[in-house]
Amino acid sequence: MVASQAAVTQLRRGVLEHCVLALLEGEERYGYDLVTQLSEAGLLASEGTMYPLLSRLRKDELVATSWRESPNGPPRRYYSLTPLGAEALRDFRGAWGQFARSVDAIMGRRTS
Amino acid sequence: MMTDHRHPLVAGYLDALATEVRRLPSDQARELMADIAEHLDAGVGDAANEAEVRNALDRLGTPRELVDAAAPTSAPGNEPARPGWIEAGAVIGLLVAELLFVILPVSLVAWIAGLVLLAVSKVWTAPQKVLGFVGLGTGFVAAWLTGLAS
Repeated sequence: MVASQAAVTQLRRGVLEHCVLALLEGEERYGYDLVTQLSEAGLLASEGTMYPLLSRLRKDELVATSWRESPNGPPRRYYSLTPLGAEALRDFRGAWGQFARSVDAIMGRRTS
Repeated sequence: MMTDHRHPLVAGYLDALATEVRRLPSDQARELMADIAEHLDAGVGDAANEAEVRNALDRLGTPRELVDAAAPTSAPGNEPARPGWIEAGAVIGLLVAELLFVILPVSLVAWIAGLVLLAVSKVWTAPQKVLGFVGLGTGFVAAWLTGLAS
C-alpha cells in the first residue's frame, strides 16, 4: 500500500509538467484555473507547489505569461504555450503513448 | 495590495509565507508571494466561511512546502566536481618530471603518468588541460632537448 502510494507520487511528479503544457494547448489559462483543473484530476498533492513549477516552465521558455484584466478584481497572469513548449508536448505525447501501451500490456497480461 | 478585505486566516497564511520566502532569491520570493496571493484572491471569495477558507489553505499546502518546492534542489549529485587525487597526481607527476629530469627512468615515468592523469581528469576543462600541458608538461621535453643540444 505504502509502496504503491510512493509509486503514484513519483508518476504524478513525472507527468505533471507535460499535463500543464497539454492544458495550455490551444488556449490560455490563468494560474488558478490550471491549478484547479489538475487538482480535480487528482494530479496535485498540494496546489501551491504548482506555482514554483509554473515559474520553472516560464524560465525554461516552455510557457509564456501575460497580464490580463479580470472581470472582477485585479489583473491576472495568463499562461500560454510557446513553440518550444509545443515541441516538448509533442515529444512527450509520443513517448507517453508508447510507455502507456507497454505498461498496460504487462499489467493486463493475466486477464487477457 | 488588497490585504484589507482578506479573511484573517488568509492574511495569517500570507504572513507565514512572507517569513518563509526569505530563504529564496528576492525576485523568486516576490513572484511566489504574488502567485499565492492571486490564487487565494481567486479561490477564496469575500463571502467564504471559515471551513471553506481552511479547506482552500489545506489544499494549497504549508508555506514551508511551497518554499521547499521553489528552492533550487541541492541534490548531492549536482555539486560541481572537486579536484581530487587525479588532479594532485597530475601536478606532482609533471613537477617531478621537470625537477628530476636528469634521472631519466624516474622523470619519464612521472611525465607519462602526469600526462595520463591530466588527460583523464573530469574536473578540468579542455582549455585548462592544454594550459596545464603547456605550463607543466613541456618543461621536461624542453630540458631534455636543451641537454641533448649542449
